[in-house]
Amino acid sequence: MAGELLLEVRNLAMRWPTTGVDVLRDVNLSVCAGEFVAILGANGSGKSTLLRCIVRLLTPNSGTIGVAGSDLTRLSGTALQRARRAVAMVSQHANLVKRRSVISNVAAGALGRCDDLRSRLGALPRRELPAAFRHLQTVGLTPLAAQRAGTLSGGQAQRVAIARALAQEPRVLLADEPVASLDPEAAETVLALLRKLAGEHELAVLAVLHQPELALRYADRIVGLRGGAVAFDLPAARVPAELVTSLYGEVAA
Amino acid sequence: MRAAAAVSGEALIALPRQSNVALRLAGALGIVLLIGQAMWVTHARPQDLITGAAGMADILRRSWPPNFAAFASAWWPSLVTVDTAILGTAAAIVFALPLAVLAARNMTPSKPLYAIARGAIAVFRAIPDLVWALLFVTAVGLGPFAGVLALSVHSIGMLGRLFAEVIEDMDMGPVEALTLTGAHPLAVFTHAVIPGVAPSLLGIGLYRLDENIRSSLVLGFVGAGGIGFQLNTAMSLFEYRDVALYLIVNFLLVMAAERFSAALRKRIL
Repeated sequence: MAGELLLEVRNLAMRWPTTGVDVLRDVNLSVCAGEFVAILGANGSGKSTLLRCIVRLLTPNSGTIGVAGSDLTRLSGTALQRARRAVAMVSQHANLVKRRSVISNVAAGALGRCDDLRSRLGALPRRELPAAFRHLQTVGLTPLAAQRAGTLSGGQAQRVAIARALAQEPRVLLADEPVASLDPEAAETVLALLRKLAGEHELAVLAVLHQPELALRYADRIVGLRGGAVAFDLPAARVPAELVTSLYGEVAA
Repeated sequence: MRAAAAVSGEALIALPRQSNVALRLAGALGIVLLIGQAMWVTHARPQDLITGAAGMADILRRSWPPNFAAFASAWWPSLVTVDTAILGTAAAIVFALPLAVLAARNMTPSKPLYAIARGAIAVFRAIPDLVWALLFVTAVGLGPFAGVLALSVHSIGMLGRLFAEVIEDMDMGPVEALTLTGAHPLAVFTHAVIPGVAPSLLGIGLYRLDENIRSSLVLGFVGAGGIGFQLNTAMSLFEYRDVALYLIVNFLLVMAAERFSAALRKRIL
């Protein structure tokens, strides 16, 4: 399991500028190539904030975020835009362009890499289409390539979103509650897919999950967040059930 | 209506106020005063309608039958009217889109640009197209081009505001998703924003075309050419049978424009 270290979060801290609440305190965490790490935690424990800090949708107050060697916290503007290409993100909602075809949505994932005047003016990078088809094949949806993205089911849309993330050719794949709005069957498919991608594409996968049971079954390692700090960081097989429930109990009390 | 108010919950607060008799009386008195002053200011005398009935009947009699021979002189001005609207609307769509991007809170590159764009839209909108036509007739002379300019300037304001609202209401999910792929901001705009809003914008643009054909008829009255100009001339010459024909042509044009734009909008949305 000792692949290359692709994502390394060191001493990350984040305070909401408006409320002054510490959402993240001294978070340390690392994910290697081929590894699927799940983050568990109650609502408000900072799970999503952590992911949004990593892609720099939010700016942390201190700490470093190393992605395949470069420190995202120190970048801005074009340099950040370029560094972001190494990190792909899948959200709870697939966020597809509904009126475009499935294959166009997948190919749009390559826009960061294929930046020229044509693509800026709205044309899809044509030479990326074969790759886009391959990614669609990886997620098992080639027959739907020409269909409008708006016609897909939730599970299909999420898989297309994952194919779009692959078109970006990332090293790190983040997933923010990727199965929270899917039915149980679709949730299993999507998690199995993430699991498979970690291995086959040598990706470092970091997913925020709501269902501990699914996380324990699919992830290699579980990171528990409580009150913005890491409560535990253990291989999935060695996480005792009490430890998981303790994450959620704290908030209810 | 009552059921809808009951579920909203606000009704619970509003109910005791509704039973306040004094307040309701004051409200009713207020409305009566408002209407009363409006009638006094506009010299509204309903009895004039009765005494004027004979005059109306006379005009109607003199305009019957419509002078169908005047049709030969009506088709070219009709084309001018329609083309004025088409060109005015097309120009308005082209200029309204960038203005709307600046005037949409979720897309604008900076606060000052937002304020400037909103200000421009407000000015274009607030001045009616008829007034713009008067201004442009002074600037570029009599003729349909003044009408084109007038329609486009006023429509830039109308469309700019509606376009900005569509952009503000759109789903930001795809925008965020493509930004995170490291795409250039312009690519995010063309690949995520445009496909998301294009059908709505086109629908609004077609609706505007339909309104502009109606406006363009009136612009002829102030010298901006087209069928309105013919109508105005016939009126001044008391050629009521010609007037009747032009009104029929007007009616057909407006109906055709409405049907055409409605059918096209249905296909897009």
